[in-house]
Formats: sequence, structure tokens, C-alpha cells
Amino acid sequence: MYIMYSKIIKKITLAFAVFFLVQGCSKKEVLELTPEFALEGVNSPTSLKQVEEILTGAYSSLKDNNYYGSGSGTGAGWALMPDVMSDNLYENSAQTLANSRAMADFIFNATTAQIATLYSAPYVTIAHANAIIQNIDKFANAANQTQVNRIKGQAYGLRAMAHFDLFRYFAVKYDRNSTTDLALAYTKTFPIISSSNVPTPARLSNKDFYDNLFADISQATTLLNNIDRSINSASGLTRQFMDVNAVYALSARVNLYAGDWTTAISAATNALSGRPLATTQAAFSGMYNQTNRGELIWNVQFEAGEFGPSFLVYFATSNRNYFRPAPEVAVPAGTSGLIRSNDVRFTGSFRVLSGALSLGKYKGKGELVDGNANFPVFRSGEMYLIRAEAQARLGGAVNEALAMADLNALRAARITGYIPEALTGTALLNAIADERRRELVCEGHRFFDLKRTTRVLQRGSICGQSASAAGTCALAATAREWALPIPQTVLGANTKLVQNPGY
Amino acid sequence: MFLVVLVLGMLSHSSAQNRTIRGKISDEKGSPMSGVTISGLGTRITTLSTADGAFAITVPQSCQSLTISAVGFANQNVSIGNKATISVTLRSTEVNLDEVVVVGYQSLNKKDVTGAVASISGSEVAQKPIGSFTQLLQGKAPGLQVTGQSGRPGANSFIRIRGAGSINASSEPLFIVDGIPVTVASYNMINPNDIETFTVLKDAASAAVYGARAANGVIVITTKKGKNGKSEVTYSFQYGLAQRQSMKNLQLMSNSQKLQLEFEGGYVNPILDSMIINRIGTGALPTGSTLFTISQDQRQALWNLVNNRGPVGGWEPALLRDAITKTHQITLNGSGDKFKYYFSLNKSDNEGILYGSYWNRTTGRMNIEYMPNSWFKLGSNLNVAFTKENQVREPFNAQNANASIYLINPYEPIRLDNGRYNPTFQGFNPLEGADFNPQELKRVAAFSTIFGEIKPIKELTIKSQLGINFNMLNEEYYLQPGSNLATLLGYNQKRVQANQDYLYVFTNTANWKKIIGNNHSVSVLVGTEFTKDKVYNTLMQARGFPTASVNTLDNASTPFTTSTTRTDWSLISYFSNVTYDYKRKYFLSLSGRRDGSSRFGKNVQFANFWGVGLAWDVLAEDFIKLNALNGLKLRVSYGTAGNNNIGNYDALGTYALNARYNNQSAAIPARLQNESLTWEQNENYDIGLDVSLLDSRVNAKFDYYYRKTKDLLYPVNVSTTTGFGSFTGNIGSLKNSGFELQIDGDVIRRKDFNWNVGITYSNNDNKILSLYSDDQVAAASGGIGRLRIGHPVNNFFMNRWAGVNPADGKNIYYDKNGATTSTFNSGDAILLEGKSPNVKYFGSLNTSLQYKGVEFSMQFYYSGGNYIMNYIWQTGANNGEDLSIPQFTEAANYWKKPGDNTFYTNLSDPTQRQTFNDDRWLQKGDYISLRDVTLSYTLPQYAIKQLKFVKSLRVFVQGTNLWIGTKFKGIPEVGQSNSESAITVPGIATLYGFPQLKAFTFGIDVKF
Repeated sequence: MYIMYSKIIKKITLAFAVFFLVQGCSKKEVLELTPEFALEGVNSPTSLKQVEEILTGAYSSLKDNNYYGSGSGTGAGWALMPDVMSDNLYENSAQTLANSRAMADFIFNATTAQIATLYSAPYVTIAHANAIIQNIDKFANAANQTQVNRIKGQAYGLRAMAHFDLFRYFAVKYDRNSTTDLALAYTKTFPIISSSNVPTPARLSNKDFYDNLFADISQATTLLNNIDRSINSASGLTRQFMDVNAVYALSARVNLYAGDWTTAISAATNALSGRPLATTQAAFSGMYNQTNRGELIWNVQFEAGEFGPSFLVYFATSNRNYFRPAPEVAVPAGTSGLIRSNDVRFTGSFRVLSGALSLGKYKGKGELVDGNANFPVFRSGEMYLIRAEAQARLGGAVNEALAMADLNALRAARITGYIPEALTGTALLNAIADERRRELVCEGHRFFDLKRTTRVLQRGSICGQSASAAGTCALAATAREWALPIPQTVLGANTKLVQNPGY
Repeated sequence: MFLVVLVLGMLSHSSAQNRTIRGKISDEKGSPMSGVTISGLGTRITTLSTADGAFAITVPQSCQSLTISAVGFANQNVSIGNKATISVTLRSTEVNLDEVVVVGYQSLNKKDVTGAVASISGSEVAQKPIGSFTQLLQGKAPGLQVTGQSGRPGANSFIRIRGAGSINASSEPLFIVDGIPVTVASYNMINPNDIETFTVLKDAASAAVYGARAANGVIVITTKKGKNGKSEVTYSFQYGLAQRQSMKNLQLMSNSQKLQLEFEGGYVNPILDSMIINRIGTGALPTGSTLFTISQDQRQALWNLVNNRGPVGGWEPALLRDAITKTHQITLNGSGDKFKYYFSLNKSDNEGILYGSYWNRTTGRMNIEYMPNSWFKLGSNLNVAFTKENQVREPFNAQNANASIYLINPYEPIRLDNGRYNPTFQGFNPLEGADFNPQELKRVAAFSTIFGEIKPIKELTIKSQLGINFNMLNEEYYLQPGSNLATLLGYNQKRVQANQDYLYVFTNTANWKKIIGNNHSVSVLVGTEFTKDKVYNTLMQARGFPTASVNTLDNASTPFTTSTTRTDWSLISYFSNVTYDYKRKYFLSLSGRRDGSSRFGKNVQFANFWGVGLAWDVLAEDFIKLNALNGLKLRVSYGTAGNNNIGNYDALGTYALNARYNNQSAAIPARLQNESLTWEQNENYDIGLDVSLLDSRVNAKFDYYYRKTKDLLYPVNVSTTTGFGSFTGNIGSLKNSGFELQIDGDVIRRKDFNWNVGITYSNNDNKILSLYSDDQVAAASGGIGRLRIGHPVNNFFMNRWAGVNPADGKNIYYDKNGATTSTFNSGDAILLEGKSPNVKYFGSLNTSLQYKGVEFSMQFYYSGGNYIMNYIWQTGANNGEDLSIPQFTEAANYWKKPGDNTFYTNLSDPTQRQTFNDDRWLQKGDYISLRDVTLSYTLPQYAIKQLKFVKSLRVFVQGTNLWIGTKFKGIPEVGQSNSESAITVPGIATLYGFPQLKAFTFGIDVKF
């Protein structure tokens, strides 16, 4: 009897020992798993080094396919799309995949996918900038103040630029002081979501939006004038980062849109400090194929394997032209159109293959044809044109003469054997507009320039012919399409937003 | 072992004071039992029974009784007395499988079940020409809605138990195979022939013990175990032929019909155009001739030439094929002295019906139980599977062979004169793609459980089990140099992707069962479980291969991408289940579970789930006398369950470090932190009635359920100003309610002749009850689905089409307010009341006949109430929008003159040559299919006796989906739109996914 009981007790003890041993393994801590591939978000960044890495992240966001990068026949929102949505390029029936037909033909609406991707890309950059601005002061001390200035100044500059880029597409009008026209929200925080905190910002009026924008630009200028070391290296083939010259350049561009001519002139002059015009073919072409720094003020850098802006228009690796330059811009022989063969911009911008014109600007670095190229966000040519236009619009003989001088200087740097001209009034303004088309072809300006000035788009002679796939050859001043619609998904998420008129 | 027994036996013969006892051992059915151990009590003498159950044992005179023992049977002591012969009948200790259901962590007697539970026998899914058991569950239980994802070999199905309980978190039930939770990727790594039973736990009373993952129901699968008795070898073979299901109510135009339509639509066919230009060049046609200016005869002559260019019978015979499936299986099954074992080896080769596709699987299984003594048991279930698949692509373009039937004109030749594939007008030939862009997937999966069970006292069973599920995937996709796609993209490329998924689950349970007095039976189960899953992915791509014959990455000139990712999740659980009954009249079941998941925010990581079920066996009451009834049981249950099927770190805000700028490391905000992210919670109500009448000939089961899911997990669109489009949040609630009915009846029940009929019917009403923000575009619906309170999930939201105006042949639409308009404006789209992709009712009709050795069974499956956006129809009858692609015959019935009442607009009106996503292409998905027909013949015993070594032999022929009745245009069973589409809501649209199959199979089962 005793033996039998002890056997049972032994069994029970063994069983329970196993059972509780096993229970002991189950601790709550094993549930607190954090990913090994990323930094945990609440307590990061934990050092100034990590803040600087977020700044690098902000720059990398500019390479997004919808910002300055491109997908196959899509993207390049601020690089080539404004040219696709204009008279500079035409959709090439023979080779297009029609991936951007909705944009090129202005048949988009609030549910068009590309509208939503365009709307979201700059906000990613803004989120980076906000994460920096929100956290950097935690790591600031007397010893590193100028380093903090350098990082924070770029963050303000990028936040301003990304907001302005959104504004260019989605604002109804560009008027500086309008309190009725709706711009966009101006985002200054990087949120942590909880049931009680889901951000739903409303659209600001143009005036309030510009006020925020100029405040950021002014912050960036102040900070970047007092930094620990120069942002871009003294020499090299590129200028990958937004230094104070680039912030002045942004200021010049914004003021041109806002119609503050005097500030535009002074900002352009500041931006040009130490950034003279490129005067040779090598210096001009070198800015696009990374063989010469030329007159770059700031370029977005695409490293090998990271592609570049080209693929919306020209699929370099298979030499497929979804879009081609319109004959009014240039022809293969270089004998007619705005840009001719005696102009460094002809070779710098185009490729002639089998008697047809391709957009060659972003074909690749050096001799490569792989579409891996940088995008020049700001360069001196634009500053000359901004200054010229601002002076011309200020009016008066003195200002018009200054405007003409800038225009002549630019043309002399581009065109072989250029003979200076003397124009005034409308002729001068028209000449500046034409020169903007020449100088900035496929650099993301044409649609905005039209929206800013005449508000009339009339595509050239090829539109309507079988070579062109375009179904829309003109856009009237009253067309709703001058302002892109706020995407439906965004309206759904934020009921405080108001749709643009007509959609 | 046998030898020792024999030697012992021989030794005992030599003794003088011995006696020999002879006898026969049989089981309850009277069949002779071989291999049974007979031993003299108090001696060491043993022997074994022979094949006919006979034994002879010689024991000393002093030995008074014999002990008879066999695995799985109760031991018996038989007193010898003066008998010289003894016959013994052994009783099985195994409970009859028909009376037991495997529910959460334990087996219950069917009578004790208080919840809504359905059992499906493994034999219902054995020997079918479909690789994934999930597809084989179609029509097998009420409330279990099964839609094949596609006809791709090895494809799984979408399974919904009592409707879709989630919007975005998975609505798939939890599958537990021998105690291991398995992921979708490994469903088809299980050989259906190895499955013993499925138990579908539909309500919370039965599923709550699975807590956090049980919101969409649980399907518990057990695999076959060794059976008592001598070992048995079974060989099974199956040979089948699969074809696509034919397109219903739609037919492609013939060459001449298509050319005529092109002409009428003013389409400049480039082939004809170049013929005309050539003829102008030779002077055969005047300068300036076009297809539309030449004479009818000249045109006809050109058409005849074009007609002869294409392959005979069009492209379909080349793109599709009769796919052959072949399966061999061998199993060994039985028990030894202290062992029970089941071994199986299965090789299944399945061609896909699309050119180039195949899916081959090899599985091996070993299930062993070792019982060294009466209180201890050890066991292991081990399954290893290997599959190799060539996956052909399914995009919505000519790279998809199925789409190409509808996108490439049959008058285009397959190959050019130089023998190369014709890239066709589409610029791509899918046959070329299948040949030169192979995508090969190899998977290895192992399922292994090891368990020990101790019974220290009679009432208590303590079980500890370690389960492991290991999955490995290796995928290689090669854009071979020289292939069309490589030329189009400007580079050749090889992608190698690997994925390792290692899951282990450690389960410990203690189960105490006792009958107290005569009236109270109690069972208490307590347990803990720890689950952890680790996933590791590798991706490598390289470009610039010199030649197609080398295909390893070291041969590439340019490394392109390398990336690895690693994620993990864990779950800790404590659970308990108590069942009690009083006099077998009143049954109570209580279960509770506390789960902690790593996927949720710190403060809301743990959640409690519980369920209660009550049942009343009405006929057990003395005061109720209903002679017509043989059984009447009433069940009610209520309980909660959860869903944690979201990404592993969705609650955490993160910065990713995987970006670079200027070749410097960059940190990018990768996700918004949501501190309030928590469980999706389910509340379930169920009331059920089980009735048995007419001498148990008719059995019926009725259930009504209501289940509400709250805190739905969903990517909440957030103002993009945050830099993000969405964050994962808990957004609202929805309900599914409905009733289920199952009736089975034995019409004829005789010794040699049985006829059984059955019917199941389920309906489900799905409705959104609340939303964080109402009226959202449903994610993954391709813009045509909405989430709106008071309506089903993914309710269609589209423009309404009013018809073609008989006066002018133009489209008429309804605007937002219901007035008619001739212009299409996307702003006029509205929510289409009552039209959603959700199936509202489904079920099956079954019948089986058995006459001696001949068995015939038939199952119909029906499903309906859902709507499908039919893009295939829209593309193939597009009002002249794109006449370069093949058209359906009905496209010729367009408006031609005033007064015509037609579906299609005036072809010569360029303003009407446009199609939009309006509701004219939205169709009811109702159908009924003859899902399964099986005719089998088992050789009678007298015939078997002629065959040495063979114990039984069965041959069968079987048909799957042989007939379909529907008004839908196309194939009505729509799962995935296609496997590459961003439109992933199941059943919402047709987009040329791998077509569903019909199949004929022949098979044979031989037992030795």
C-alpha cells in the first residue's frame, strides 16, 4: 500500500514540476517586441547624430518617384510633370504606355491615383522637417549651437520648399494677400496618434499660408547664415544640399509667384552670390550628367541605381519616348523652334536618335544612358530670369534696362554669337517668358508659369495629329484644372478640408 | 520480439505439468484479431494470436487465468477453469470517432457540446484532384463559406465562417493542425488524405478558448493516427484531367465577326493597313486606298488572307491545356505492442491549365504514439512537405495567358515566319513569357508536434506539447537575356527571394474529469500557451546576365538589390474551460482566455475573452414524451473573441534607416505611433436546436447567430499633412447575422441498399454599424467599394447606367439625384443599395446511394446574393473604345438606327466609344454548381479472396464542377480578381485570374 501511494505521489510531483516549470517561462516582457529593422519612434531621435540622419532622410524623400524621381511613365511631379502638363512636350502615340494620360490630358479628378501621390509626396519631406524641428532643441547646447543652426536651418528651408511645391499645384491662385482664395494647411508638428489626437488641419487662406511660408524662409536664412561649416563642399561636381544660397533662391521664386518684385530681386541677387552663370557647353551639360558643377545652386542627388527624373518622359534604358519635345521648342535639325543648334541648351537638353528628338537632359551621368541623373532644383539661370522678370514688372526705363541686361547676359552665356537686344514693355515680358521656356525646359516650371501669368494653355501644331496621343489641346483660363483637386481620400480623412472649385 | 515470444513458447512446451489452451480472439464486430498478446497470469509465458485470431498457449497447471491485451483495447482476464478452448471478445477503448469532436485543447463527446460546432470527416476531402484542403471544404458545413481563390494548382480558398468579420484585418478563420496554428502559406503543404477530421468552431462558446485569434472562427484539424490492429498497407492512385470552366453566357467573336465589327467601328487594323499599303506599292490598289474605300470584294479578299494567319481554333488551345494531375500515395497504419503508428508518403503532380504552370507536392507523415504503461503516453506527429511550382503571371495585360485569350486577336499567328514567338499587337506573347521568364517557387514545410501525457490519477490528465511549424520559400524569377520583357525594360534580371518562417507553440494543459455521484459530471481544463513566430526574408536581384543558360547571380555583371528583413510576434495565453452536466440533461460550458499579443500598444496588450454555453437535452426529461422524436437538444451560447491579424509592429511609430541620400545613411519616419491600437473584439450570440426523428432517420440542425465585431482594425486615412496616408486604428463595428440549417435524411436504410439525402442552407447579413468616419472609399476595392454605416462592407459605389437611348444610340446615365443625363460624371456615383460582393446565402444539396459495393454520391453547391464587377465583360464589349482587342459576340448588337433597343451604343458615334465603371457591368453572382460526383465500386469479399495479399480494392471515378448554372457572364465563382491586382477584396471583380477548374478523376485504393 505504501509503495503504491509513494508511486502516485512521485508521479504527481513530477507532473506538477513540469507544469510549473513551463509556466515560469511565460513572462510579460516577451511581448514587448520591437522591430530590429527600425528605430523605435517615441524616444527617437536620441542624439544630434540621429537628428542629422533624419535630415538626410528628408533629402532622400525628395528622390521619391512622385517628387523629383520618376516611375515608368509616371511621377516626376516637380521635375517633368509640369512640362508634360504644358506645351513643352507632347505624348508620343507610337511609344507611350499612357500611364500619365490623365495628367497630360487634364482628365483627372479627385479620385485619380496620380493626384493623390502628388499630394502626398511633399508632405513626407515636411514630416521629416517637423521631426527635426520638434526634437533638435533637446540636444542643443552652447557648444553645438552653430551645428544645430546648420541642421535646423535646412529643415526650415525644406519645410518651406515642400509647402510651396504643394501650393503651386493645389492653390487656386497665387495672389499674395488674398484672404478668400484657399491655399493649403501649413504643418508644423509631427504627431503621435491616439484616440484623442488625430490631426485634421483646415486649409489656410493664401495670405496666412504665405505668412507661414515667409516665416520659415526667414528662419532658414537667419540660421544658415550662422553655421559651423559649409553645407556643400568647396569644390566638386554637385551641390547636394540646401545651403543659404538655395534658401535665397527659394525666396526669389516664392516672391516672384507672390508678386513681391523688390524682394524677388534682392533674393535672386543674394542667391547668385558666388554662383556665376555657366558659360560653356561643358559647364552647362555638366550640371545634368555630373561632369561639371556649372551654375548649380542646389541639385537633388541620385546615386547609381537610384534612377532619376527621366522616366516619366524618356525611358532611357530602352530608349522609349513616352513624350517628346514639341516642335515649337526644338526640332531634330535644330533649325527651328525656341532652342536651336547654336545654343548650348540644345545639346544640353536633347538627344537626336534616328532623326527624332528625345529629352536627353537626364539620360545619365557621364556617357551612361541609364536615366540615373541628378535634378537641378535651383540654378543661376533661373535667378537671372526671376530678377529680369521682377525688374520688368516693376516697370520704368531704369528697371527695364536692368531687366534687359540680365536677359542679355543670360542669352550671351547660352547662344553662340548672340547679339544683345533692347526690348521694353510687353515685348520684354514676352521675351523673358520665352527665355524661361528655353532655359527651364523640363525643369518643372512651364505649367506653373502659365498658371502664374497668362493662364492659357494652347498646345502646338502637333496636337491633334496622329503622332500625338493628346486629346486635349487647350486649357482655358477658366478651366478648373489649373488647380489640381484635393484627393478624395484626403477629403475623407479630414472633413475640415474644402475641395477646389469645379470638382 | 516475435522471436523471443516464439522461443518462450517453445520452452514452455517442454514442461510436463502444463496444459494447452486454444481459442479465438475477436473484436466487437466479430472480426478475428491478430497480433493480440495472450499471457498466463503470474507467468512469463505469452503468445500472439494468428491471422485468423486463433491462439494456442501452454501454461502450467497452477496458472488460473489468461490476460488478453491489445493496444487500443481493454485488457481482459479470463479465468481458465477446466476449459480447453476459450473465445474472447475485446472491447475497444477508443471512443468511436463519430461520437467525439475535437474542440479546443480537448475532445468532447458530441452530446456534451453546447456550442455551434460542425464536424467534417477527412474521408470527405480524400482523393480529390485539388491540392489545398481549404478548397475541398466547400459545401461541407453550414455557415462555412468557401470560395476558391482561383484555379491555379495548389490555390487556397477564401474561407468565411459566418460572414466576413473584419474589413481589413484578415477574415480568415484560425486553422489549428494537431495543435499548431498554421498560416495561409502552409495550407496546401498538408496532404488532404492525411486528415482525419475537421472541426469547425463557429460560435464563441466553442471558440472562446482560442481567444485572441478566434473572432473569425476556428477550424481544428487532426491528422490520422495509427489504428488498432495489424498493420495495413494502402496504396492509392489518382489520375485526373482538369480543364477551365467554360465561360457562361459570353462567347468570343470568330475572326470574320471581329473583322466585320472592326470595319463597322472604323478601326484601322494595322495588319490590314500594311497589306493595303503593300498593294498600293505594287499597284494592285490605287493610291490613297484604305480599308474603308476599297470594294467589298477587295476587302473580303484581304479578310480571307488575315483569317488564315491565326492558329486553328484561335489562341485558346495554345494558351490553355488539359491539365493532368497524378497522385500516388502509400500508407502504413497499425499498432504494435506499445505503439500506434501511421506513415504516409504522397506524391502529387498537378499541371495547371495555363501554359507552363504546374504545382508538384511531396509529403511524408509519421504519426506515432508510444504507451510504455497505463499512465504515460508520448507521441509525435511529423509532416514534411516539399512543393515546386512554376507560377505563371496574372496581370491585367498580355503577360497573363488567360487575359490573352481576350486581348490577342485570333487572327494573329502564334509564331512568326522565323519561328520566334509573335509579340502580337499587344507587344507581348504570354507563351514567350512563360518560356523565358520562369518564376519558380520551392517551398519546404515541416509541421511537428511532440507531446507527453501523464495520468497520475484516474481523473487527471496532464499534457505538454511542443509544436513547430517551419516554412521555407525560395523563389526565383528570371527575365532571361533576350526575352521580350528584358528587351522592353532594357535590362535582364534575376530575382531570388527567400523566406523563412519559424513558429513554435508550447502548450501545457491539465484536464480533470470526474463523475460525482451519479448525476454530476465535471471536467476542468486549465492551460497555458506561448506562441512565437519569427520571419526572415531575403531579396537579391542582379542584372546583366551574359546568356540565358546561366542563371545564378554570380554570373550577373551588376548586383542590383540586396535586402533582408526580419520580423517576429509573440502571444502569451492562459485559458480554462469548464464543462458540467447534470444527469446528462443540462449541460454547461464555460471558457475563458487571457491573451497578450506583441502587436498592440503597451497599455492595451492584454485582453480577456470568455464564452458560456448551455444545452438542454429535452427528451431526457421524464415529463416530456414525444414519441416521434429521437433527439431534441436546445443550445444557447454567448461569448467574445478577438482578432489580432494585423502587421507585427503597427502600433509602434518607427524611423527606418533603410534610406540613403548622397550615399549617407538616412533616418525616415516610417510609421505613426498609435498608442491606442487594440484588439478587434467579437461578441457572439448563438441559439441552436438539434432534432432527430423517425427512428433517427432524419437529423436536423438549426442555428441562429448574431455576431458583432467592434474596434475593427483598419488603416485609417489620416490627413496627409502628417506625412502619412494612414495609420492602423480601430475604426468601428459591424455585424453578421443569419441562420443555418442542415437536414440529413436516410430515405432507404437497408442492409445492402442505402439512400441518403441532405441539404444545407446558410444566410448571412453583413452590415456596418459604426465607423470612425463614415462613407469611406474601401481600401483594395479598386475605388468601386465603399464603407458606409448601415450597409455591407465594400458596398458598391458607382455611377448608374440607364440604358442606350433608342433615339440616338447614346448612353443615358442617372445623375446623383436620379434624373437622366447623357454625360458621364464621376460625381454622380452613388451607393448602390443592397449590392455588395458579400455572399448572402449559400449551401449544398447532397445525395448518396449505396448498393452493395457500389457507391454513388453527388453534391451541388449554391451561392448567391453577391454582385461582381465584370471587367472581363466590359473589356470584351467596350462600345468601340478599343477594337484592337477581341470582342464578345454580343458587341455586334449595337445601336444602328433610331428605334433600336440595344445594350450597346452607336458604334459610329465617337463620343460614345468609351466605357466607364458604371453599374451596367455589375452582375449578380448567383450560381449553382455540380461540385462533386463520385461513383465507386468496392470489390466484394468473395472476389477479394481470390486475390492473394489484397484485403480490399476500391475503384472510383469522380467529377468536379461538371456543370454550372448561372446567369452571370463568365465564370461565377470569383475569388481573386487576379493574383497581381491591387483589387484584393475577395469576389469583387473579374480581372482574368487563373480560371476555375472542372476536372475528371479516376482512382484506385488497394489495401494489403
